[in-house]
This record gives sequence, structure tokens and C-alpha cells, in this order.
Amino acid sequence: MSGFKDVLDGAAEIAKAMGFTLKTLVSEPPVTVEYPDEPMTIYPRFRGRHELRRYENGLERCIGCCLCEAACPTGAIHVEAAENDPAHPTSPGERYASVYEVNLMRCIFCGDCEAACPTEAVVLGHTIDLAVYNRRDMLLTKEQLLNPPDPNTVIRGDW
Amino acid sequence: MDMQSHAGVDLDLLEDVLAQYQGQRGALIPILQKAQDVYGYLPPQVLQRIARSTGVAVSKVYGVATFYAQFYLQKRGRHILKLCDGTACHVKGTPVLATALEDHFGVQPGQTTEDGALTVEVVYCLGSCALAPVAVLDGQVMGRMRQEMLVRTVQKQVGAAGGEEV
Amino acid sequence: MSDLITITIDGKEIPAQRGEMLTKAARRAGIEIPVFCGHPKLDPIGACRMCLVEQETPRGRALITACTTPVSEGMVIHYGSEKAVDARQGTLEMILINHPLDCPICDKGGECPLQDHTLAHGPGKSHFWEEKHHKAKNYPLSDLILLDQERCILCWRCIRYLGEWEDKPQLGLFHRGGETVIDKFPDGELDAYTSGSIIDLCPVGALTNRPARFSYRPWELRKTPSICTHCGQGCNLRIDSRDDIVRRHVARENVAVNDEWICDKGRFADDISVSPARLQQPLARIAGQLQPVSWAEALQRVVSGLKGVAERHGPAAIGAIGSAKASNEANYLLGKFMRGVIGSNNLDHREGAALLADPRGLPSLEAARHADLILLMGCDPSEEMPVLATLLKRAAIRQAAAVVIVHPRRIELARYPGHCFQPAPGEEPALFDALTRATLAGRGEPIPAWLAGAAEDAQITAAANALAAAQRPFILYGSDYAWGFGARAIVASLTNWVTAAGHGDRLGFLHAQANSQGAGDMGMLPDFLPGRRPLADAKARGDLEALWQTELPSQPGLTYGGMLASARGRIKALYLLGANPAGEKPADAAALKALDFLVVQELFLTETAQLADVVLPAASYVEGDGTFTNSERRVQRAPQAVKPVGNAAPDWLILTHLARAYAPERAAAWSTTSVAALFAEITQAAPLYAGMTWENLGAGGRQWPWQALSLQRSVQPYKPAALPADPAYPLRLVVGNQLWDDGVVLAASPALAQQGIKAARLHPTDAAALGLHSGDAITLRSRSGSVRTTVHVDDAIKPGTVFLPYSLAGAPAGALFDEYAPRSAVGVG
Repeated sequence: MSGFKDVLDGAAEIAKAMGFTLKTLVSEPPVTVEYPDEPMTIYPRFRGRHELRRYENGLERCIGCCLCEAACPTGAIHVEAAENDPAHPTSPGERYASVYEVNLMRCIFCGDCEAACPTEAVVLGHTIDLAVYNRRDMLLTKEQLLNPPDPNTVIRGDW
Repeated sequence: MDMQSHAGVDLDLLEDVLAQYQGQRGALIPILQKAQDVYGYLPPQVLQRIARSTGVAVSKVYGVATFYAQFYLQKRGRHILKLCDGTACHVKGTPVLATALEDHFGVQPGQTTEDGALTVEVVYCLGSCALAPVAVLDGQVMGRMRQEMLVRTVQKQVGAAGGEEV
Repeated sequence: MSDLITITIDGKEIPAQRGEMLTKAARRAGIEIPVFCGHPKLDPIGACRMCLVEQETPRGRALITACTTPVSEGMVIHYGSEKAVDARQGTLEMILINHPLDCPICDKGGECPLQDHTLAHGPGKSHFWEEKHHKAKNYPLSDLILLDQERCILCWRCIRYLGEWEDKPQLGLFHRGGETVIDKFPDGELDAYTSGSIIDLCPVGALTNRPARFSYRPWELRKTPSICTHCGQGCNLRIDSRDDIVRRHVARENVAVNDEWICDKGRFADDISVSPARLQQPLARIAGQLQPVSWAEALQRVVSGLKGVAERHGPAAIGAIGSAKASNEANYLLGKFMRGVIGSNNLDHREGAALLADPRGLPSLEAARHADLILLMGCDPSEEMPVLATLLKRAAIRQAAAVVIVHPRRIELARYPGHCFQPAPGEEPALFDALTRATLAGRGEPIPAWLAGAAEDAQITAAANALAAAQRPFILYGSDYAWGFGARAIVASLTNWVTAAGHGDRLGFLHAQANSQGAGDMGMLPDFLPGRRPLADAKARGDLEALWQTELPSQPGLTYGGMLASARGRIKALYLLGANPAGEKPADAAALKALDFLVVQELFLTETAQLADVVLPAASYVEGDGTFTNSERRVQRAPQAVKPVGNAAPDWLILTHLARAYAPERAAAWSTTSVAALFAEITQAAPLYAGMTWENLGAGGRQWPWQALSLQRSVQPYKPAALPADPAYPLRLVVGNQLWDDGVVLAASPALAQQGIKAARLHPTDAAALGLHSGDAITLRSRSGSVRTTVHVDDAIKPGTVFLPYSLAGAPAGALFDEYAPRSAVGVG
């Protein structure tokens, strides 16, 4: 008669589980965040949307070396470099990025680009609201990447 | 070094030197030395003329002329002050002497005053470390130099013959 | 004494060739000894000390430089010993003391021997933390080359290249110790025509390509082995592209053709596929204006236009002009279309029937290296084939080859010992007759009566004797002597001389255009079929008829000049592929306007294309597959490197579609869908190309043999051509090719606009008589027209002549051509 016993045991287990669920429902607060109605807590090591940083004097950190592009495992970054006009330099030194694009549809937010960057120009920031209405808008241009509010911030400096 | 600042060099003065070494291999350094005796330094036109005459590429001639400290590529002043900046002299205050010279005569080491009166050069050890710091003005060795003494001596010497061509 | 010896490296016995350098022997055994200064194409110097190894000597082990040490029997070398490794580490550490380590912004980063050696042999960290020496960065050596003196490691490669290959030692090592720099002599120039080679040679990023600067990182490039199409040498190069944009050209080794060098035009003029002036869409003349149309409409208009003319006036009223700059496939298909579909033999190209070229080009470029005498007649390799010029210079220096020159200008190679004759236009046959006579006299052979009067002087005798005594002469004549009024007499008389000297089979022709040889081989001539088979040869026609499944007209067609001259008469329609007659000779523009129908297949909207009824946008050679045949009959591949711009299409594809639309019933003969298949068809149509396939052309190309066509040469009298003096036009025109001209390629490369002197040249005495100075504007006039340009006073010009390069913007030499062209009488004013 093991079949009958199995049914009873099963019913007891379900009752036990449901009991725990019902107890937790009334005794503990919910852990889910009602985003976007509530703000998300973002931890320092979180890797969100890319940002291109500047120095305090306003010059771009990016020198167009393309190492982020080489490091990117998904080919999400596209860089074209050009020569600085010495009278009106875009970045320190001779070279700057004339084109810097990130394709967010390809990006897997692994952070290899920031690890490869010799000038800490590209960092994965804390922006998480990435939804857009048009696929083309997932291609971030240099102008979109270059306006972080706080220049010269190294997000994961204590790594 | 642009050609403009070396205008008026009379290349005819070089012909005797070139004739003396005509056809001799390996005579470049003696030719450069004699040419410097003639002009006081080695203007670019002279180097080009020597290159043409010896068949040595002018880039090589210039390489030799810049390699040796004995050759000068810029016009030198009528008075030459050599400041020793070897270890002993440096420790005993050559940099201070150099600053004093700059303040009084407006020349840094390696430069010549605008009126062509004085050239200041830095050399590394004259073998008189016991007298450090040492300066040599027109061949006259002066030991244990102090700023005021140096400036006064130079002023006297340059002033004495200052206006005239030597 | 055997040449094969055995040496020991790290306990391993390896075979070596006696006398070769240790680095080379070790490399063969798989031991890559690091070097910076050492280079297989440059003399050993031992400047960088990177290649230190230990050698066992009777007095113990000693550190030696492997790149300057020839191997000897029984030599024992320690490469991996502690002391050797330590020495190389120390060397690298010292090299890096003052190196700026700005790899992220350095164009060399990623393909840099200094990076590679540092990774493999470097110490990893430095004892030095002091401030580095600061020197000039971003310092232009010329408009084309930038020097970064901080990155330089003083290996001397650039200095040695310019000295050893170009014989223009314009760079030197100046100053001393830590201050040592590479530089030019103050106010000096770096103007060697292959100066860009020093960029390839530089083992660090000290010398960089100025126009291409910062436009690539080496690891992201797609590298297509290709060739250069600027001249008839066909130098091997690599096209590096990214995102379908050509980023740079670098040299590719092919010892038989260009060694490892390319000229500055080949290296820096790489903008043709990104020029905004490129045609991207077919154009058709609608209501008098050229307007963009679809390919289907454009082809339909070509078909109906040509058909209309053929119906009204017969196929012989249609002609086609091919191009010595277009591929074999383009020229072959244009010929196939004209002969097999339209039914007309009116086929030629500018360097075609009118050019008295040897149908085999020149025997072998590699022979230039081994020459014991160099004879150049009416050609200037420095301007027309700069890499050949470096090979010739090396032969003149290293093998003491005498250089004999017959040219209206004193060309660059005249600086080597030998004989330089500068006959004025019209005087050449008399000079060659005198040389022939002196040669015959020197050999004790009878002198024919028609040569008896030729005047001789000591230099003529010496030159004649030198050629007769030479064992391996390298002999070239060029287009300056091979076309126009009097060319027949010049070529006949120079052939007489070379033949009399016993070198008739070594006389070669220097083709100035990339595919002059190939266009002729493809039958882009009014009287020759593909494979240089005469049109009159019924068997040749029969073979082609079977292959093309058609009937071929047997009546020889009109030449290039003939077609343009008949454009107001029996020629009613022309199909021009890569030809620009209106730009080269303004008088031809009027003739083209008189045509009923004009089709131009082009890269740019040229003067000629502006007159067309339909303009078809063609892909440039970097954008489509193709083969080119260089001056030594070497067929080489130029594979597609980037996508065509806009809606441009490869020539072969355009012609295939056109033929299928024109004659759908013959579509079976027009069914190839790739250049490989098309090339296979060409090898059937042109027996000279038999045995070649697209695949087996490989990286270095294949030659058809010099002996495949034999020419019988003997000393023959010829008909002289007198050039009448014209008091109203006292000067004589001399035209020629100049590397830096204003041609299509350079016009598309703005970075090169300032290169070279673009002016007519006069001898100082003529200039003084006319009161002219370099830089003055002048008007040159002849009986047929005038051009305005500037003047450059140059004592290399023969007095009484004026030199006008081809392809000067706004000053086409063709405007001055009359019936004595190109030796027309001209005046200044």
C-alpha cells in the first residue's frame, strides 16, 4: 500500500511548504524593488552604461588607441582615431578618438574595455535605464558617452 | 641652424684647406679643424662645401661635426668663458655661478651674448678639482670662484676689449 | 672547400652556408636571434647590440654580435646561456631607458619589433626611474614621413637604406651619447622617390606614414596581398584596409620584381577608393544633362545607342578604346565585346598601336641587379619606375656597372660614371648611327655605305666599345623615343646599335603604364588578337571564333589616333574604358562631341566623361579582382581589397552584362561569373598565358617566356625623318613622364598635392634669354595650340628644348601636339 502512503506524505509536504509561504507572507517585508517607481541601490562595482571621461581641464581622456576595441569580446566598440590640432587639442598628446561608438545590443557589460584602457577613459558607469524605442538608439555615439556629470572620477579605483 | 643666420660666409677662404687635403682619404677631421680655424666655427655652407670636395655625404660631415665637442656650429663670442660642471665643481657651486652670469650678462651656458662679446660654455672637469669651482676665461684658469669675483673679472675683461673686434 | 659547414648553437649541430651571417643560419634552424639594426636587405652594421650571443674562443667565451658575424666551420655558439640572455636583457633595458613607451598612440604598436623583443627578451622592469631625454616628436622629415626622435633606437636602418639603395644619404646620426638623434642636414631635403621604404624598415614607431597617421591599428587591418598599378613594374604591395576603407599600402617582398621596396607614389597615393570625386552611379544624358540612372537603364541606353549606330552605319562605325591602366580582364572583355559581339576591329589604347614597343616588354627586371652595363635610351627609370631605378643604382655602385644614357634630359642616373648623350629631338638617329658605325668598326665588321657618313667622336667610340664589351648589359628604351614623328627612325637606329653590339636579344622596352604589356597581350590593338596573334592569321581567328562562338571581322581596324581623327567621319560611336582623350588633348574633345554616341566607363567624371551620352561607374583595381601584366610579362593578381564605392561595378562585370543585354543569343559565350573563371578563358584565348590559373599565379605572379615571341634583328637601313626648323617657334618640345604629376591617382590624393615640381622646364641659358625665372608663369605655344603653366629653370634640360611633363593640371602636353608631335616646335610668350 505504498501508493496511498505516498499521497499522504505528499499532501503533508505541500501543507508544510504552503504554511511556510503563508507565514513569510505576513511576517517579512518584500525584497523586490518596485523599479522604476522606487530607486535601485547600485553598488560600486556595478557595471552599467559606458561613459567616456575627461580630465579636470576638460580634455578627453580617450586617446583613440583602440585597445578597448581589441579587448571587446563581442565587437561592440568601434573607434577611429585622428591627429589633434595642437592649437585646439581634444585630448592630451597627438592622438584622439574622432569616432567612438558602443553598440549596446552587442555589449555584455564584461568590463574588459575599462580593464584595457590605458588612460581610464572608458568606464562602465552606473546608468541602468537603457531602454529605447529605436534599435538605432542602442548605438551610442561619442557625444552621448562623453557627458558624465563628474569629470575625472575613477569608479573602481580601489580594485 | 638656418642658413640666414650664417649669411656672408666667404667660401673662397676654404679653398687652400681643401686643396691641401685634395684626394686624401680620412682627412675629414683635419679639414674640419682647419676650416674652424678659418671661420671660428663651422657654418653650414662650409660643411656643404667640404662634403662636395671630399665626396663624403653632407649628412656624415654634419654627423662628425656635431659629434666632437671641439667643433662649433654657431658663431662664438670674442671672449670664451668655460665653466666647469664636473662633480667637484658642481658640488662647490657651479650652478650658482651660471645663474649669476645669466643675471648679469643674459647668457645661459652654451649661448653667446647678443653683441657677440661673450660665450659661456660648460665643460666637464678640467682636472683642477682642488680649485673647485673652476672657470676659464680666454684660457686663463680661475679657481675657487665666487659669484661677485667671477662677474667682476668677466666685466673687466669683456669691458676692456668689449667694443673692438679681435 | 665545401660551402656547407656545421656550427653548434646551444649544443645543437646545425648546417650553415659558409660566410652567411650567424643570425641567418640560426633562423634556418628555428632559433630567432633578436635584431634591430640587422636587416636581410641592408649591410650588417652591429649598431644595436640586440643580437649578442656567446662564442667559444681559444681564450674563453666572448660576447659577439650575431648579425655581423659570418659563420665558420666548427663555430660553437651559446644563445641561451645565462651571460648571453643577461646581455640581451641589458641591451633592451638600455634601449628602453629613453624610449617614451607611448605604445597606445604609436602607429607601430602591434607590429613593433621593439614590443615583441621586449616581451620575449626584455627584463620586465627597469633600474631607471629618472626623467627620460626629451627630443623632437611629430617632426616632419618631409610631407610624407614623420619622425619621432624619442622613439628612435638609433639602429641606422633608415640611414643605410637611403645610402645603400637610393644613394641619397640624406639622413644622418647627429650629436652624441644620450642626445644622439637621426635628422637631416639643416634645411636639407628627404626627397628620394622610395623614401617611404624607411617607414617599413623602422623597427620602432620612429618613422611613420604621415598621410596614414593614426588611421589604423595593425591588428584590426584586413591585409590583401596585391600589386601597385602606377607603373609598368608591378611592384608587390599589401593593401591594408578596415571597414572597406584602404588605410595604407606597405611593400611586399618579391625579389624578382621589386625586392622589398615600393615607391612613394605606390605607398602614399592610396586614396583612389575614398575620393569624393569617384563616380558612384551610372549617368545618362537626358535632355542634354548627365543625370543619375539605374544600371538597367544605363545598360539599355548603351545597347540601343550602339545598336542604332550599327544599324545605320555598320559595325565598323563603332570603335573602342581600352586602357593600359585597366586589368587584363577588362581589356580582354572589351576586345571580345567589340570583335565578337559588335563585329568591329576598331580597338586600341593610347599606348597601343602607335607605340613602337617591343611586344615582349623587357627581358627581366631581376637582370638589372646583375648588369655590368646599363644602357637607357629615351627613358628615365627614376621618374617612370623608381624601384627599378634603385636596382640600377645599386648595380652602378656595387657592380661598377657603367651607365650609358641617351636622353634629351640629363636624368638622375646620369650621375654615375659612364656616358651621357643628350641629343636634341631629331638628332637621335644620327647619334645612334655613329654609335653603330663605331661598334661595327670596333668589331672589325664591314661598314655599310649608308652608315659611312656617321660622325664619330671619342665619347661615341668609348660608349660603343663599352656596350660591345659588356657581358650582361641591361638595355632599355622607353616611350619618349617610341612614338610620334621620327620615332620609327629612332627605334630603327637604336636597334641597329644594340644589334651591332651583339646584344639584340637584350633590348627591352620600359612600359610607363601598369598594364601596357597586358593590354597588348589581351589584343587591345587594331591588328592583333589576344596572345599577340596577328589578326591576319586565319588559324588564330578560327581558334577564337570557336572559343567565342562567333564570327570575327578580318579587316584591321583603326588605331587610337585613327579613331579620334575619324570621329567626325566614319566613326560614329566610341566606347571608352579608362581613356581620357579630351583631357590629354583638348582638340580631341571637339572630335568626341561630333560623335553620335559616346560611352565612357570611368572612375571619375573626366573631361571625356563629361561629353559622354552614358557614363558607367567602374570599380578601381583595389575594389575588384583582376590581373595585370607588368613590363617583364609577369602576370600578377590584384585581388579585391575593399567593396566598390556606391554602385560602381568591376569592368568585367559591366562588360559581361552589357554583352548579354546586347546579344542575348550569345549569352552562352558570356557566362563567366568570376575573375578566376574569366582568367581561365583568357588562358585559352591567349596561348602565351597557357598554363596559368588564377590560383597558380600565387603571390609572386608568373611570367610568359621572353623566347615565346622571337624577333629577328639585324642592322638595317631605315628611312630618316627630318624635323623642320620653325623660326616662329624656336624651341623644341620634349615630353615625358614624371612621378609626381597631376594624373588621376594623384588628383585623388590631396596629401600628395605638394609633391614634385609641376612646371615646364627650361635650360638656364634659354630662361635667361627669355628673362624667365623659376616660378614665373609662361604660355607655351605651338602651331596647334597653347598651354599656360609655370617655368622651372633646370640645367638638366638640353638648351633649345622645353620639357613639359604629361598630366600637368591645366597644361596638357597634347594641346601643343601638331604633326611633328611629340617633337613639336614651340615658342614661349
